[in-house]
Amino acid sequence: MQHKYLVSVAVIVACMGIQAPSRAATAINISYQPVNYWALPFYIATKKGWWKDVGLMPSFSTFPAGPPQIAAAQAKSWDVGGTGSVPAVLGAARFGIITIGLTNDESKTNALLVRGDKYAAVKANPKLLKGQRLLVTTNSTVDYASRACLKKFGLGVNDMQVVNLGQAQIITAFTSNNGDFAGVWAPNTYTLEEKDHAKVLCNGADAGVVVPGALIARADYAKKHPGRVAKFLAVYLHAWTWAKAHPKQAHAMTKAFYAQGGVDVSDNGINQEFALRPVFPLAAQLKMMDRSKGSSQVDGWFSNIGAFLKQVGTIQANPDPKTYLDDSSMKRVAADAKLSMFANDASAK
Amino acid sequence: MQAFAETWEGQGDMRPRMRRTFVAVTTLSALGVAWFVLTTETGLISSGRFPDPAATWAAMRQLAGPGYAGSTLVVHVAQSLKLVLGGFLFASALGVSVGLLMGWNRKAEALINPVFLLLRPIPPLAWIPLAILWLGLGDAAKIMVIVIAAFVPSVINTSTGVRTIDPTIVEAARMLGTPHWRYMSEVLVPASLPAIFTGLRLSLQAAWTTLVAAELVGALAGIGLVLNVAQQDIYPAMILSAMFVVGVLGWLMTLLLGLVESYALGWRTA
Repeated sequence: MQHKYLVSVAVIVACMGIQAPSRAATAINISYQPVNYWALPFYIATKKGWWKDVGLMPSFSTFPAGPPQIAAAQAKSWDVGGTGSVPAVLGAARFGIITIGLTNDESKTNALLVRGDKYAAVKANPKLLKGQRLLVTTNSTVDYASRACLKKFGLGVNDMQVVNLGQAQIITAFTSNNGDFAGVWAPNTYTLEEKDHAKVLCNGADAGVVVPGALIARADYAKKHPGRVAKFLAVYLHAWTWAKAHPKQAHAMTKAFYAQGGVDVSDNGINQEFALRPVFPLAAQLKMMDRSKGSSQVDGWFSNIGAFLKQVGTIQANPDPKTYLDDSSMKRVAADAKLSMFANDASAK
Repeated sequence: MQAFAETWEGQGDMRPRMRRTFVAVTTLSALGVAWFVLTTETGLISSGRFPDPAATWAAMRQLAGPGYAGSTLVVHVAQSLKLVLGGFLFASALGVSVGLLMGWNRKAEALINPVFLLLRPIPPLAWIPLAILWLGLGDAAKIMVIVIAAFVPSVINTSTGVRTIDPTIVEAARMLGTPHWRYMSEVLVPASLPAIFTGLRLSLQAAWTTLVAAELVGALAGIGLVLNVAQQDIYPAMILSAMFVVGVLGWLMTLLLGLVESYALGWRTA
C-alpha cells in the first residue's frame, strides 16, 4: 500500500516537473502585419509549438500597416515584432524603436506595375510615365522602391501624380480602370499580375536599392529583457531554417497563413514568394550587421531609407543607423549554445 | 472664491448670449492652460503621447506656410469645404425630400423604410471600395461617402418633424380643403422646419466627421488628407493642428446654419 502511495506521489511530482516549463513560460507581446511573407515564421512557430520550447508565451497583435504598428509602441501595446524597413526607420526617429535583425530582403517584391496593354510602350520609353497617376501607399517600402524606379528612369518625384491609397484600395482602383500604374508589395503583385494582367515595370532590385524587412523591439523592453528578445529571435530564425529545409510543408503553411488573413494566393504566387525573397540565417544576420570594419552593410541600406524619408518630408533629420540598428540580441543568440543550435536546427518536426 | 462669486453675480445683468460667450471663452482658456501645464510646464504627459502647444503651433505654421501633404492650408481648406458643402447640400436636399415623403405618405414610408433601415447601419467607410469602383478616384466618390453619412439624420428628423405636427393644424387644413401644394408649402414644411433644421445640423456634423474617411479615396488635397498623412508620418502635432482646423471650420459652418435657421424660423419669435 505504502509502495503504491509512493509511486503515485512520484508520478504526480514527475508530471509537475514536465508541466513546469509551460507554467514558467514568459509572456511576450509580438506585433506584425498579416499576409506578409516575413510574418510566416510567427505562424509556423505557433502551429509547431516552438515558443514554449524556449519558455515564451506569445500574444500577437496585428496591424494593417507600419505606422499604426509603430504608434502602438508608444502605448507599450507590443514588445517585439516585424515590420517594413520604412516604418522601422520612422519608429527609430519618432520613438527610439530599435531594429534587432532582418526579416527578409523584399527588394524584388516591392514593385511598380503597369497595365499589361501599356507595358511594351512604357518599357520602351519610360518618359511616358510623366504626368500619369501613380497609385501607391506612401511612407512604405513600395513608395521607396517606386521612387527609386522613377529615379532610374530619369524622372523626378513630381513627374507623376502620386495618389496615396492603401494596398487593398489600389487593387480596387486598378481593377476598375482608375489608374494604369500601381506601386504594390507581394502578394498584391501576384494578384495584379494574375487577375488584371499587370506587368512588373520595375522593382526595388532593378532600381538598385535594397528593401529589407525589419525585426524590431521597443528599446526599453530590449534593455530590460535581453534574454527574452534573444529567445524571440531564436524562434524566428528556427522557423525560417525549418521552412527552407521543408519547402513542401512550408508552402502549404504559407497558403494557409495567407488564407487566414483573407488573401487567396495561387501556388505560383507562393513559389515566387520563396524564390524572390531571400531570408537570412543567424550567421548571415551577424555578418550583415557587423561593424568591426566600419559601417555595416545594413547601416548603408537603412541610411538610404532614412534619406528617402527625409527627402519626402516625413522626418526632419536622417537618424544615424548606429543609434537604432542593434545586433546585440543577435549576438546573444550566437553566444548561447542552446539558442544558437535551436536557431540553426532544421530537423524539428 | 468670494471674489469669483461676486464677479459671477455681477454678470447677472448680462444678456444671455454674452454670458454664454464668457463661459465658452473661460472654458477654452482653462483647457489651454491645463494643456500647457500638463505638457510643457510639468511634463506629466510626454510629448510623444500628446504634443505640447509649441509643437502644435509649429505644425500649424508649417501647414500654413510651406505646406504639408502636398499643399498649403488654404488649398487643403478650400478642397475640404468643397467636398463637405457638396456632400451636405446634396444629402440635405435628398434627405429632406425623402423625409417629407415618408412623414406625409404612409405608403411611401412602407416602401422606403425597409431599404432605409437596411442601409442605415452600414458605416460610411464600408462604401469606399464601391465608391472607387463606381465613381473612380475623383471628387464624386468622396462626395458619395459624405452624402451617405449626412443623408440619414436629415431623413429621420424630417419624417419625425412631419409626424409630430399638431393634428389640429392638419385637420383644419383638410377641413378648409387646402390644395396639396399649398398644404405642403404653407403647413407641412413650415411646421416641420424646427425638426428639419435639427436634422441639418446633425447632417453637417456627419459630413465633417466623414471627411477623413472620404479623403481616403485617393485625395490630392484636403484636411482629411492632412490627417491621413500625419497619421502615416506619426506626427501628432500635425494631427492636432488638422483637428483644430476641422473643429473651427465645422463650428463656423454650424454658426452659419444657425443664422439661416434664425432667418427661416423668424416667425416663431415674431
